[in-house]
Amino acid sequence: MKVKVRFFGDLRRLFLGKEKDLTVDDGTTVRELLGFLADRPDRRIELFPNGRVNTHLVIIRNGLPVNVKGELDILLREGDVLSIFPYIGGG
Amino acid sequence: MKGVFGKILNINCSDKHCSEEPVPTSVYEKFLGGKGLASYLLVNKNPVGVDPLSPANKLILATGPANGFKIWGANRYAAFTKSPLTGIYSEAYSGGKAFLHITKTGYDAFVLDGVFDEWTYIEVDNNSVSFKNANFLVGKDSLDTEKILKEKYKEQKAGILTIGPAGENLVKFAYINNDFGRCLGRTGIGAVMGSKKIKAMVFIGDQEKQAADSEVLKAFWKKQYEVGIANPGSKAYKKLGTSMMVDIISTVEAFPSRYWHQGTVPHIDKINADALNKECEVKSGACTYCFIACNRWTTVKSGRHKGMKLDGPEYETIGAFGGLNMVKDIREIAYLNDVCDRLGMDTITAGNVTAFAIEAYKKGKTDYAIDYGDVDRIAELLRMIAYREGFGNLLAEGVRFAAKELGFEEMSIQVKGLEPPSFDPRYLKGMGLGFAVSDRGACHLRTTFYKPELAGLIDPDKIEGKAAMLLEYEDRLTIYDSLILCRFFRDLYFWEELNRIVKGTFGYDLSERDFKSISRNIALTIREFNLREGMKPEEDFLPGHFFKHPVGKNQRVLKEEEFARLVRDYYELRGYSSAVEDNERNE
Repeated sequence: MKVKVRFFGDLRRLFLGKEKDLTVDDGTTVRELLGFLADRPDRRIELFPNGRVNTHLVIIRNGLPVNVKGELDILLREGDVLSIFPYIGGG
Repeated sequence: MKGVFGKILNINCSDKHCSEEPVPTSVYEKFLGGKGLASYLLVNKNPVGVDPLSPANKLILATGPANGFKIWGANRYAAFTKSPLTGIYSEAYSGGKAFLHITKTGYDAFVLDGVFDEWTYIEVDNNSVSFKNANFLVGKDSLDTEKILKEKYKEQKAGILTIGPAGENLVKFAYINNDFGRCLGRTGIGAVMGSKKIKAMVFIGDQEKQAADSEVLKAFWKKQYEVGIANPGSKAYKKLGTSMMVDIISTVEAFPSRYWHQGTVPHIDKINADALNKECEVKSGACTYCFIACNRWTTVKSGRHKGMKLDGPEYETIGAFGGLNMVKDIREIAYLNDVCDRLGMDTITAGNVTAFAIEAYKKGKTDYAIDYGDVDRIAELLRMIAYREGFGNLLAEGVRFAAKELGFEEMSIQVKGLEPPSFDPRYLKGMGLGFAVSDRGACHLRTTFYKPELAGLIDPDKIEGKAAMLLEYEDRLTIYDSLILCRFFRDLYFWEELNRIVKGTFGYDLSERDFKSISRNIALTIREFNLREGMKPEEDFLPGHFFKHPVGKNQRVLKEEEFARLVRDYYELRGYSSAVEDNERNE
């Protein structure tokens, strides 16, 4: 199935663009998707510092925030759009 | 006493008499300082039911126990009064460098009372206060006023606070400027300063507070730098500033646009952090004792404002003008930011007011022709507001008043008279609860609850347990405001770190429970103030618009019963009595 990942902030530099269209197997989770994205050492450090998912990331799936601590094992669905922000601050 | 000076200075502008007043230790134990001390002073010193723009309304300036020590993020001062915009409790905080000069005069707070015969600026040099004629500054904008005084005081190190024309003309959302664009922004504190005919204040000092344990503070300084600099937040703030929020809030369609009718704008790529960094030369800048450096020192690189320099624009200003007013170019938003700064008014309320005026015109409620995105017309309206000319005179009273006068109350988007910042409560329901129950009206900063809702810590739609989590944020941030720490250290300073700060300054060893009890003392004191000044508990709610009109692709809207549940939960946890009980008590 096809999903879209949109990058923001410094992640655009790291992933060389604003977005990526990916084809993944049915049953792929958000955590596994992040694993596919971590295909280079610098990307792995950003997404999985200390081997665990970076808890500062803000992931919005189809307009709804994903709990980075508790919902990483939810299954992706066809046409999902995931927006990934390195951090949320300000206001 | 350790950690504080233990005294305040009363300044009477009418008879130019000043008096030092000791503050009992028990007050610091119950309220810490900063917001806590000032709230205690306001409740006890302000006459009940006072007209906010009358001489008898007190204007209180305060620094906190953390200020004056080398503590990262302890770099703000604050003002407290009864707001002319809302008629209730008013507080505002500002960063930069001024706080240190204010602190070093040797007082924990200044209570300004009365009114001068003619425009005056006050010079506080340690324990000596002088009143200087300010006729040469009248009519000057807030930044030029600071520039002139800065030149005058170049030999000394001085912290300078100024108002612009909006403050002079008692615009109800006038602000107080320091350090060329940092400001005590919300609730019209600049109008209270103007009502006392104080054009500026200059603070010079070399008093040092005594720390209870300077070794604790030294170790804290070193450790927090190491921890803080490695935090991804520090990198993001430095590179993008608060404008990083534009894309996040727009992605979830909670970016209030077209005067609260839409959740995003088609021109988002023209007004986000990338646009700011592309169209302008942006240097990051830091307040004293800060490594985060979120300030934007911006120079516009091209177009009709080429060469214009300003501090900003921050997220809220981009939201107010780029969202609510549909301005499609970050350079034009920067321009409107500069117009507001110079006139000396809060960009959040100003942007809400001009967008309200646009909506009112479109619905045939006024004959002042203006459209969304019409930058020059918006700028003209801002000037008319600051000088109270024509239609501007009405808008200078804020949205609540203007909506009533124009018979357009269905679009009176405000809580207790304060216009909301750029977070749509139809999506961010906890942020909505924050707007509804915050002590100064629709405020995002008392809880900053957009953060847990967007970071996935609690679903924005969830009702169950939300008030409890909001209270956690409110309690911790109330301690921030009482020590006077910057919000942006909220990912770094939790109860344990706050314990270190209090241990090093005051010497008290406070647990999470102790801190929460202090926050509760402060909340109940402010509640008492607001109820006594005529606030009705049923005002702890949001405008009807958010319950009637869905927003965004997902058509999000608030449900009355759900939102009432949030408020009820909050009341119970906070220790407020219910609206019904309060009404019975008042009758």
